Amino acid sequence: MPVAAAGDDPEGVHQVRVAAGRLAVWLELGGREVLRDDLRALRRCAAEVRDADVLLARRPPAAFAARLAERRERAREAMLPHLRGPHARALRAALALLPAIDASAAERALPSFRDRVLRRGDALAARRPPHDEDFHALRRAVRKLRYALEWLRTDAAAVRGLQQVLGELNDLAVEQRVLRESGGARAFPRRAAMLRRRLLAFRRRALLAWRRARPAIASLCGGERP
Amino acid sequence: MKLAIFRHAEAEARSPSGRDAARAVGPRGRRRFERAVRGVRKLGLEFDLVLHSPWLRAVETADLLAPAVRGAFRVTPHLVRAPTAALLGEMRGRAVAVVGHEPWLSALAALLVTGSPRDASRFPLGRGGMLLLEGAPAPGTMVVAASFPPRALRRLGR
Repeated sequence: MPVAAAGDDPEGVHQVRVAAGRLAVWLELGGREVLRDDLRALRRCAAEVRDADVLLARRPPAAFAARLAERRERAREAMLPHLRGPHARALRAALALLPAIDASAAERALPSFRDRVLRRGDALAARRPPHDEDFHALRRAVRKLRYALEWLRTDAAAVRGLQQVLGELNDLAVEQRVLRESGGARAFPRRAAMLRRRLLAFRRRALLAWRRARPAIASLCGGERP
Repeated sequence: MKLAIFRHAEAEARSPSGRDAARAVGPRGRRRFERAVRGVRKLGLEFDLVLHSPWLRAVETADLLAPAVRGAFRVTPHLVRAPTAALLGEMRGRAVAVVGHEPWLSALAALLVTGSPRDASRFPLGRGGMLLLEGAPAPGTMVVAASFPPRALRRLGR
Protein backbone atom coordinates (compact mmCIF):
# COMPACT_ATOMS: atom_id res chain seq x y z
CA MET A 1 0.00 0.00 0.00
CA PRO A 2 2.78 2.53 0.65
CA VAL A 3 4.16 1.86 -2.87
CA ALA A 4 0.70 2.33 -4.38
CA ALA A 5 0.20 5.56 -2.44
CA ALA A 6 3.64 6.91 -3.42
CA GLY A 7 2.66 6.50 -7.08
CA ASP A 8 6.17 6.03 -8.50
CA ASP A 9 5.65 2.43 -9.57
CA PRO A 10 2.43 1.15 -11.24
CA GLU A 11 3.22 -2.26 -9.74
CA GLY A 12 2.18 -0.91 -6.31
CA VAL A 13 -1.45 -0.39 -7.35
CA HIS A 14 -1.48 -3.74 -9.12
CA GLN A 15 -0.13 -5.52 -6.04
CA VAL A 16 -2.73 -3.88 -3.77
CA ARG A 17 -5.46 -5.25 -6.03
CA VAL A 18 -3.90 -8.70 -6.27
CA ALA A 19 -3.30 -8.90 -2.51
CA ALA A 20 -6.87 -7.78 -1.75
CA GLY A 21 -8.23 -10.40 -4.17
CA ARG A 22 -6.06 -13.16 -2.71
CA LEU A 23 -6.98 -12.26 0.87
CA ALA A 24 -10.69 -12.20 0.04
CA VAL A 25 -10.37 -15.73 -1.38
CA TRP A 26 -8.42 -16.80 1.71
CA LEU A 27 -11.27 -15.54 3.90
CA GLU A 28 -13.84 -17.30 1.74
CA LEU A 29 -11.86 -20.54 1.96
CA GLY A 30 -11.91 -20.15 5.74
CA GLY A 31 -15.69 -19.63 5.71
CA ARG A 32 -15.38 -16.07 6.99
CA GLU A 33 -17.83 -13.38 5.90
CA VAL A 34 -16.09 -10.43 7.58
CA LEU A 35 -13.53 -8.15 5.89
CA ARG A 36 -14.38 -9.37 2.39
CA ASP A 37 -16.52 -6.28 1.66
CA ASP A 38 -13.67 -4.08 2.90
CA LEU A 39 -11.21 -5.88 0.62
CA ARG A 40 -13.63 -5.53 -2.29
CA ALA A 41 -13.85 -1.78 -1.62
CA LEU A 42 -10.05 -1.59 -1.53
CA ARG A 43 -9.77 -3.38 -4.89
CA ARG A 44 -12.43 -1.10 -6.35
CA CYS A 45 -10.79 2.12 -5.17
CA ALA A 46 -7.65 1.18 -7.10
CA ALA A 47 -9.46 -0.13 -10.23
CA GLU A 48 -9.52 3.09 -12.27
CA VAL A 49 -5.83 3.77 -11.68
CA ARG A 50 -4.94 0.20 -12.61
CA ASP A 51 -7.04 0.37 -15.79
CA ALA A 52 -5.25 3.55 -16.84
CA ASP A 53 -1.85 1.99 -16.06
CA VAL A 54 -2.65 -1.05 -18.22
CA LEU A 55 -3.82 1.10 -21.13
CA LEU A 56 -0.83 3.44 -20.89
CA ALA A 57 1.49 0.43 -20.99
CA ARG A 58 -0.03 -0.53 -24.36
CA ARG A 59 1.53 2.62 -25.87
CA PRO A 60 -1.60 4.34 -27.21
CA PRO A 61 -1.36 7.34 -29.63
CA ALA A 62 0.10 10.38 -27.89
CA ALA A 63 -3.15 12.37 -27.80
CA PHE A 64 -5.08 9.46 -26.26
CA ALA A 65 -2.21 8.80 -23.85
CA ALA A 66 -2.47 12.40 -22.63
CA ARG A 67 -6.17 11.94 -21.90
CA LEU A 68 -5.41 8.67 -20.14
CA ALA A 69 -2.75 10.32 -17.99
CA GLU A 70 -5.23 13.01 -16.92
CA ARG A 71 -7.81 10.35 -16.14
CA ARG A 72 -5.22 8.40 -14.14
CA GLU A 73 -4.32 11.47 -12.10
CA ARG A 74 -7.96 12.11 -11.19
CA ALA A 75 -8.44 8.45 -10.25
CA ARG A 76 -5.26 8.54 -8.16
CA GLU A 77 -6.47 11.59 -6.25
CA ALA A 78 -9.72 9.75 -5.51
CA MET A 79 -7.83 6.60 -4.47
CA LEU A 80 -5.34 8.16 -2.06
CA PRO A 81 -7.72 9.00 0.81
CA HIS A 82 -8.84 5.35 0.78
CA LEU A 83 -5.31 3.97 0.83
CA ARG A 84 -4.05 6.36 3.50
CA GLY A 85 -7.25 6.64 5.52
CA PRO A 86 -8.10 5.20 8.94
CA HIS A 87 -10.32 2.48 7.46
CA ALA A 88 -7.44 1.04 5.44
CA ARG A 89 -5.33 1.01 8.61
CA ALA A 90 -8.16 -0.71 10.52
CA LEU A 91 -8.48 -3.30 7.74
CA ARG A 92 -4.76 -4.04 7.85
CA ALA A 93 -4.84 -4.30 11.64
CA ALA A 94 -7.81 -6.69 11.54
CA LEU A 95 -6.21 -8.88 8.86
CA ALA A 96 -2.96 -9.04 10.79
CA LEU A 97 -4.79 -10.36 13.87
CA LEU A 98 -6.69 -13.15 12.12
CA PRO A 99 -5.48 -16.67 12.89
CA ALA A 100 -4.67 -19.18 10.14
CA ILE A 101 -7.61 -20.87 8.46
CA ASP A 102 -8.40 -24.53 8.97
CA ALA A 103 -6.74 -26.34 6.02
CA SER A 104 -9.24 -29.21 5.92
CA ALA A 105 -12.19 -26.78 5.92
CA ALA A 106 -10.49 -24.90 3.08
CA GLU A 107 -10.12 -28.16 1.10
CA ARG A 108 -13.83 -28.77 1.57
CA ALA A 109 -14.65 -25.26 0.32
CA LEU A 110 -12.57 -25.63 -2.85
CA PRO A 111 -15.22 -27.43 -4.97
CA SER A 112 -17.56 -24.44 -4.60
CA PHE A 113 -14.93 -22.28 -6.37
CA ARG A 114 -14.72 -24.85 -9.20
CA ASP A 115 -18.50 -25.12 -9.44
CA ARG A 116 -18.83 -21.33 -9.70
CA VAL A 117 -16.45 -21.35 -12.68
CA LEU A 118 -18.40 -24.17 -14.34
CA ARG A 119 -21.71 -22.35 -13.83
CA ARG A 120 -20.36 -19.08 -15.24
CA GLY A 121 -18.61 -20.78 -18.15
CA ASP A 122 -21.62 -22.89 -19.10
CA ALA A 123 -23.89 -19.82 -18.93
CA LEU A 124 -21.45 -18.00 -21.23
CA ALA A 125 -21.29 -20.84 -23.73
CA ALA A 126 -25.09 -21.16 -23.80
CA ARG A 127 -25.67 -17.46 -24.58
CA ARG A 128 -25.98 -16.44 -28.25
CA PRO A 129 -24.13 -14.15 -28.60
CA PRO A 130 -22.33 -14.05 -25.23
CA HIS A 131 -22.46 -10.72 -23.37
CA ASP A 132 -19.40 -8.89 -22.07
CA GLU A 133 -20.85 -9.33 -18.56
CA ASP A 134 -20.73 -13.12 -19.05
CA PHE A 135 -17.02 -12.98 -19.89
CA HIS A 136 -16.45 -10.65 -16.96
CA ALA A 137 -18.25 -12.99 -14.54
CA LEU A 138 -16.27 -15.98 -15.81
CA ARG A 139 -12.99 -14.07 -15.51
CA ARG A 140 -13.70 -13.20 -11.87
CA ALA A 141 -14.70 -16.77 -11.04
CA VAL A 142 -11.56 -18.12 -12.75
CA ARG A 143 -9.37 -15.66 -10.87
CA LYS A 144 -10.87 -16.74 -7.55
CA LEU A 145 -10.47 -20.41 -8.38
CA ARG A 146 -6.82 -19.84 -9.27
CA TYR A 147 -6.14 -18.00 -6.01
CA ALA A 148 -7.94 -20.74 -4.05
CA LEU A 149 -5.87 -23.44 -5.77
CA GLU A 150 -2.68 -21.54 -5.09
CA TRP A 151 -3.54 -21.02 -1.41
CA LEU A 152 -3.92 -24.78 -1.13
CA ARG A 153 -0.74 -25.41 -3.14
CA THR A 154 -2.74 -27.25 -5.80
CA ASP A 155 -1.69 -27.13 -9.45
CA ALA A 156 -3.49 -24.18 -11.09
CA ALA A 157 -2.24 -24.84 -14.63
CA ALA A 158 -5.77 -25.77 -15.77
CA VAL A 159 -7.00 -22.23 -15.16
CA ARG A 160 -3.92 -20.09 -15.80
CA GLY A 161 -4.17 -20.11 -19.62
CA LEU A 162 -7.88 -19.36 -19.54
CA GLN A 163 -7.33 -16.53 -17.07
CA GLN A 164 -4.71 -15.05 -19.40
CA VAL A 165 -7.05 -14.96 -22.42
CA LEU A 166 -9.94 -13.59 -20.35
CA GLY A 167 -7.60 -10.95 -18.92
CA GLU A 168 -6.55 -9.79 -22.38
CA LEU A 169 -10.19 -9.65 -23.46
CA ASN A 170 -10.98 -7.57 -20.39
CA ASP A 171 -8.15 -5.15 -21.16
CA LEU A 172 -9.61 -4.60 -24.63
CA ALA A 173 -13.12 -4.11 -23.21
CA VAL A 174 -11.76 -1.60 -20.70
CA GLU A 175 -9.92 0.28 -23.45
CA GLN A 176 -13.11 0.46 -25.51
CA ARG A 177 -15.06 1.78 -22.50
CA VAL A 178 -12.41 4.35 -21.63
CA LEU A 179 -12.14 5.47 -25.25
CA ARG A 180 -15.91 5.93 -25.36
CA GLU A 181 -16.08 7.75 -22.00
CA SER A 182 -13.28 10.15 -22.89
CA GLY A 183 -14.82 11.03 -26.23
CA GLY A 184 -12.01 9.21 -28.00
CA ALA A 185 -14.23 7.12 -30.29
CA ARG A 186 -14.77 10.19 -32.50
CA ALA A 187 -11.27 11.59 -32.02
CA PHE A 188 -9.58 8.25 -32.75
CA PRO A 189 -11.87 6.43 -35.20
CA ARG A 190 -9.13 4.09 -36.48
CA ARG A 191 -8.26 2.93 -32.96
CA ALA A 192 -11.97 2.48 -32.15
CA ALA A 193 -12.45 0.34 -35.29
CA MET A 194 -9.32 -1.69 -34.51
CA LEU A 195 -10.59 -2.29 -30.98
CA ARG A 196 -13.98 -3.49 -32.25
CA ARG A 197 -12.26 -6.01 -34.55
CA ARG A 198 -9.89 -7.23 -31.85
CA LEU A 199 -12.72 -7.56 -29.34
CA LEU A 200 -14.70 -9.76 -31.72
CA ALA A 201 -11.64 -11.95 -32.33
CA PHE A 202 -10.81 -12.18 -28.62
CA ARG A 203 -14.37 -13.09 -27.68
CA ARG A 204 -14.08 -16.05 -30.06
CA ARG A 205 -10.66 -16.93 -28.61
CA ALA A 206 -11.95 -16.72 -25.04
CA LEU A 207 -14.93 -18.95 -25.84
CA LEU A 208 -12.62 -21.49 -27.44
CA ALA A 209 -10.25 -21.30 -24.45
CA TRP A 210 -13.20 -21.98 -22.13
CA ARG A 211 -14.28 -25.04 -24.15
CA ARG A 212 -10.72 -26.37 -24.08
CA ALA A 213 -10.21 -25.71 -20.36
CA ARG A 214 -13.59 -26.97 -19.17
CA PRO A 215 -12.77 -30.72 -18.91
CA ALA A 216 -9.61 -30.05 -16.88
CA ILE A 217 -11.44 -27.62 -14.58
CA ALA A 218 -14.36 -30.04 -14.16
CA SER A 219 -11.93 -32.76 -13.07
CA LEU A 220 -10.38 -30.59 -10.31
CA CYS A 221 -10.86 -31.69 -6.68
CA GLY A 222 -12.22 -35.10 -7.49
CA GLY A 223 -14.43 -34.16 -10.42
CA GLU A 224 -17.70 -32.37 -11.03
CA ARG A 225 -20.67 -33.03 -8.78
CA PRO A 226 -23.26 -35.23 -10.51
CA MET B 1 -33.35 2.98 11.75
CA LYS B 2 -32.95 -0.02 14.04
CA LEU B 3 -29.53 -0.02 15.63
CA ALA B 4 -28.39 -3.15 17.44
CA ILE B 5 -25.37 -2.57 19.66
CA PHE B 6 -23.53 -5.81 20.44
CA ARG B 7 -20.68 -6.22 22.85
CA HIS B 8 -18.23 -8.87 21.59
CA ALA B 9 -18.70 -12.48 22.71
CA GLU B 10 -16.69 -13.86 25.64
CA ALA B 11 -13.01 -13.83 24.72
CA GLU B 12 -10.02 -15.72 26.00
CA ALA B 13 -8.25 -14.13 28.94
CA ARG B 14 -5.10 -13.42 26.96
CA SER B 15 -3.75 -13.83 23.44
CA PRO B 16 -0.60 -15.78 22.53
CA SER B 17 1.13 -12.48 21.69
CA GLY B 18 -0.07 -10.82 24.89
CA ARG B 19 -1.78 -8.06 22.88
CA ASP B 20 -5.27 -7.20 24.04
CA ALA B 21 -6.41 -6.55 20.44
CA ALA B 22 -5.44 -10.15 19.55
CA ARG B 23 -7.65 -11.87 22.13
CA ALA B 24 -9.90 -14.35 20.31
CA VAL B 25 -13.44 -15.43 21.13
CA GLY B 26 -13.13 -18.59 23.21
CA PRO B 27 -14.98 -21.88 22.53
CA ARG B 28 -17.56 -21.12 25.23
CA GLY B 29 -18.08 -17.58 23.92
CA ARG B 30 -18.53 -18.95 20.41
CA ARG B 31 -21.11 -21.55 21.48
CA ARG B 32 -23.03 -19.03 23.52
CA PHE B 33 -23.02 -16.32 20.88
CA GLU B 34 -24.16 -18.77 18.19
CA ARG B 35 -27.18 -19.41 20.38
CA ALA B 36 -27.65 -15.66 20.87
CA VAL B 37 -27.64 -15.15 17.09
CA ARG B 38 -30.47 -17.67 16.80
CA GLY B 39 -32.29 -15.45 19.30
CA VAL B 40 -31.58 -12.38 17.15
CA ARG B 41 -33.09 -14.15 14.16
CA LYS B 42 -36.16 -15.12 16.16
CA LEU B 43 -36.66 -11.42 16.81
CA GLY B 44 -36.88 -10.98 13.03
CA LEU B 45 -33.76 -8.80 12.88
CA GLU B 46 -31.77 -8.83 9.64
CA PHE B 47 -28.97 -6.35 9.24
CA ASP B 48 -28.16 -4.29 6.12
CA LEU B 49 -24.83 -3.31 7.59
CA VAL B 50 -22.54 -4.58 10.34
CA LEU B 51 -19.90 -2.18 11.62
CA HIS B 52 -17.25 -3.85 13.74
CA SER B 53 -13.96 -2.96 15.38
CA PRO B 54 -10.64 -4.30 14.02
CA TRP B 55 -9.86 -6.16 17.25
CA LEU B 56 -10.00 -9.91 16.84
CA ARG B 57 -12.78 -10.68 19.33
CA ALA B 58 -15.07 -8.15 17.60
CA VAL B 59 -14.13 -9.42 14.12
CA GLU B 60 -14.95 -12.97 15.20
CA THR B 61 -18.19 -11.91 16.90
CA ALA B 62 -19.28 -10.04 13.74
CA ASP B 63 -18.52 -13.17 11.73
CA LEU B 64 -20.72 -15.24 14.05
CA LEU B 65 -23.51 -12.73 13.43
CA ALA B 66 -23.48 -13.59 9.68
CA PRO B 67 -26.72 -15.69 9.73
CA ALA B 68 -28.58 -12.48 10.67
CA VAL B 69 -26.92 -10.35 7.98
CA ARG B 70 -28.15 -9.76 4.45
CA GLY B 71 -25.91 -6.80 3.68
CA ALA B 72 -22.32 -5.68 4.11
CA PHE B 73 -19.70 -5.92 6.84
CA ARG B 74 -17.40 -2.99 7.42
CA VAL B 75 -14.44 -2.72 9.74
CA THR B 76 -14.15 0.70 11.35
CA PRO B 77 -11.48 2.29 13.51
CA HIS B 78 -14.16 4.40 15.22
CA LEU B 79 -15.27 1.53 17.46
CA VAL B 80 -12.04 1.39 19.46
CA ARG B 81 -12.36 4.86 20.87
CA ALA B 82 -15.02 7.11 22.37
CA PRO B 83 -17.93 7.61 19.93
CA THR B 84 -17.61 10.44 17.43
CA ALA B 85 -19.64 12.00 14.63
CA ALA B 86 -17.54 9.97 12.18
CA LEU B 87 -18.93 6.74 13.66
CA LEU B 88 -22.52 8.01 13.54
CA GLY B 89 -21.91 9.00 9.91
CA GLU B 90 -21.14 5.40 9.02
CA MET B 91 -24.52 4.17 10.26
CA ARG B 92 -26.57 3.96 7.10
CA GLY B 93 -29.39 1.52 6.48
CA ARG B 94 -32.67 0.36 7.93
CA ALA B 95 -31.13 -2.15 10.34
CA VAL B 96 -27.52 -1.66 11.40
CA ALA B 97 -25.48 -3.67 13.90
CA VAL B 98 -22.35 -2.46 15.63
CA VAL B 99 -19.98 -4.89 17.34
CA GLY B 100 -17.41 -3.42 19.67
CA HIS B 101 -16.10 -2.96 23.17
CA GLU B 102 -16.79 -1.36 26.49
CA PRO B 103 -16.75 1.34 27.71
CA TRP B 104 -17.23 2.87 24.27
CA LEU B 105 -20.45 1.00 23.40
CA SER B 106 -22.24 2.21 26.53
CA ALA B 107 -20.98 5.71 25.75
CA LEU B 108 -22.34 5.34 22.20
CA ALA B 109 -25.76 4.28 23.48
CA ALA B 110 -25.77 7.18 25.96
CA LEU B 111 -24.78 9.66 23.25
CA LEU B 112 -27.54 8.47 20.92
CA VAL B 113 -30.28 8.32 23.58
CA THR B 114 -29.50 11.14 26.01
CA GLY B 115 -27.14 13.22 23.92
CA SER B 116 -24.28 12.79 26.39
CA PRO B 117 -21.71 9.97 26.53
CA ARG B 118 -21.29 10.76 30.24
CA ASP B 119 -24.52 8.82 30.89
CA ALA B 120 -22.78 5.58 29.81
CA SER B 121 -23.33 3.84 33.16
CA ARG B 122 -27.09 3.84 32.44
CA PHE B 123 -26.52 1.55 29.43
CA PRO B 124 -24.49 -1.45 30.63
CA LEU B 125 -23.75 -4.22 28.14
CA GLY B 126 -22.68 -7.76 29.05
CA ARG B 127 -20.40 -9.74 26.73
CA GLY B 128 -22.57 -11.07 23.89
CA GLY B 129 -25.48 -8.84 24.92
CA MET B 130 -27.50 -6.55 22.67
CA LEU B 131 -29.06 -3.14 23.07
CA LEU B 132 -31.65 -2.28 20.43
CA LEU B 133 -32.23 1.40 19.65
CA GLU B 134 -34.59 3.03 17.19
CA GLY B 135 -34.54 6.42 15.48
CA ALA B 136 -32.07 8.51 13.51
CA PRO B 137 -28.40 7.99 14.45
CA ALA B 138 -27.78 11.45 15.90
CA PRO B 139 -27.06 12.57 19.48
CA GLY B 140 -30.11 12.47 21.73
CA THR B 141 -32.54 11.27 19.04
CA MET B 142 -32.76 7.49 19.51
CA VAL B 143 -34.94 5.54 21.92
CA VAL B 144 -34.23 2.21 23.58
CA ALA B 145 -36.50 -0.38 21.97
CA ALA B 146 -35.14 -3.32 23.96
CA SER B 147 -32.22 -4.42 26.06
CA PHE B 148 -31.14 -8.07 25.94
CA PRO B 149 -28.62 -9.26 28.51
CA PRO B 150 -26.56 -12.15 27.07
CA ARG B 151 -28.54 -14.81 28.90
CA ALA B 152 -31.90 -13.47 27.67
CA LEU B 153 -30.72 -13.49 24.06
CA ARG B 154 -29.41 -17.06 24.42
CA ARG B 155 -32.63 -18.23 26.02
CA LEU B 156 -34.52 -16.80 23.07
CA GLY B 157 -32.27 -18.80 20.74
CA ARG B 158 -32.94 -22.19 22.32
